[in-house]
Amino acid sequence: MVASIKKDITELYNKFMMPIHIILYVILITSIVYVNEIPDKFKYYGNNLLLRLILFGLTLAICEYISYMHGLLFGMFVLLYISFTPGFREAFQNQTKKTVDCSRPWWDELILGVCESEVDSENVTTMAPGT
Amino acid sequence: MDFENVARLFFTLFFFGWNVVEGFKIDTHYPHKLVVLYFYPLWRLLLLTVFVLGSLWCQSLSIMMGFALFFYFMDLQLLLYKEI
Repeated sequence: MVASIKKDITELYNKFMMPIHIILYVILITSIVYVNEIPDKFKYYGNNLLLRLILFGLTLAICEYISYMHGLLFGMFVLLYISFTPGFREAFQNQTKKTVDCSRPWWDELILGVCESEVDSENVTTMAPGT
Repeated sequence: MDFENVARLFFTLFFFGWNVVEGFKIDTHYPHKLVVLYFYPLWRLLLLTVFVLGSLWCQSLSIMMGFALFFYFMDLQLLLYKEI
């Protein structure tokens, strides 16, 4: 039963091999051309180790079972997708910044003559040297 | 050595040299036209089509072209669009 199904699938694949390969070429090339259009919420998944494992594994599987060229194109797509993953946001780029005025400046602000307009956090953790 | 093998060797060495000189440098100075053309999806489509055709022709060429295209796409993408 299983062998029969496997044989049928293989025959079907061999029969439609050329159209399937061409469709895959079109899909992969379009994916690479428009990789920058992927929304940010999907780009963040590029940081996920499991997804990377699946994608690289899929590249090997495509090389093995479909064709070397498709694997190369898929590999290029995977690398571009991962390289466009947004990095971790640095200070002053998140939504928690607070606006402050200069009515009560810190001593160093007073000495340096600067006036900060926004702070990232109101709480500061300090520690004595040697502790 | 026939003409086809010479052409394969020539193009493979060209992209090999391109990758050695320009590959994966943050401050790669691409020609101005290459930077401007990157905005057009048709240009990228053309490059990838040439890549597929070249790859069907010669596997070594496909590896070298793949590297060159990947570096070109990634450099310009990071330069133009990436959010830090």
